Amino acid sequence: QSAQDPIRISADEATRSELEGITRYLGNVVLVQGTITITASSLEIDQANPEEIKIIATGSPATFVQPMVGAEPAIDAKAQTIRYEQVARKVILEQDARIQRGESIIRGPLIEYFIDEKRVQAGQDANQPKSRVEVVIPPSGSTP
Amino acid sequence: MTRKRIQTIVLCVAAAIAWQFYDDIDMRDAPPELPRDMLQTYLKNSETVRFDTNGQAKDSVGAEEIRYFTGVARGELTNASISRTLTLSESWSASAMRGTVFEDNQTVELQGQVVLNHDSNDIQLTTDRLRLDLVKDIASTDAIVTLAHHGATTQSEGLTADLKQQSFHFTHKVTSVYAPLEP
Repeated sequence: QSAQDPIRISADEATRSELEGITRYLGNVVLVQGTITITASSLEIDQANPEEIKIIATGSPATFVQPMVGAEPAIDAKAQTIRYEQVARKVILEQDARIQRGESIIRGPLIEYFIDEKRVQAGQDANQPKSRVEVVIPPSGSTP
Repeated sequence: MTRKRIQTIVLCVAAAIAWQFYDDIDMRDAPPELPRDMLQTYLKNSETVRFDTNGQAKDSVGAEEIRYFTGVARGELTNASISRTLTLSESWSASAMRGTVFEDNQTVELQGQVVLNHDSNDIQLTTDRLRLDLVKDIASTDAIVTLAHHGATTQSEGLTADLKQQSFHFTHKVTSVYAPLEP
């Protein structure tokens, strides 16, 4: 399970504010934790609360990828902002969110993906004007 | 004796006197030439502590050995240890195999197994070269540097740190590793 793996980040530059407990990475940011890979143009790691590391990635778009593992289909998600909540094992995709799981695709303003449950929940972003949620489910017979 | 000959003689005498006079001035102004790089002052197991206007110790430069040389406006430190007091409860300290304290007594350059600790949190910075400004509390290097902070380590090529604001800017090729959360 990725949660027990260390988080590895690489970037062009970074700034750490010890008083805030926040490190901000800039330029070609890649975060890897186990099978999870996030790419972004900027990424912020908030350690203010030692119990929970909050990770916010932004990009055009930022991406969240998990390869196929056994029978589990691959996950390929994109959005302007990706929030990765380690303890809750949840990924929140905001603005131009899109997630592809196997052949099925969901688009919308706000998508939540529960990593361990493999569950996707699409909804409205309270801070954005309402927009449609679109779901594409492949015809039966093709692999989900 | 023709008029021309008399003029020539007078000119020669004037030139001789002027040369002699010029020679004396030249001799009087030139400071005696000091042999460069000759050991001038040697301190063994010393520590220089400076105080602010309130009588508070503000920084200290210590070393197993300090050498000052003639004609060179800096001191060479062996097994150097530097410390800075920011507030009553906040300070930072650094140590290294070698160091150089510059003439302004504000800039210190450390080399060889440099370790810097910020004593009010668990930050530790390690590198091979570090330049410290004891007045502005700025540390900088272009060498590879590693910062250990809260169960994570960040490494880069080059860093500038504001030790008073506890802000660290990693300038090139940054990699970090965060330990996994306790299950």
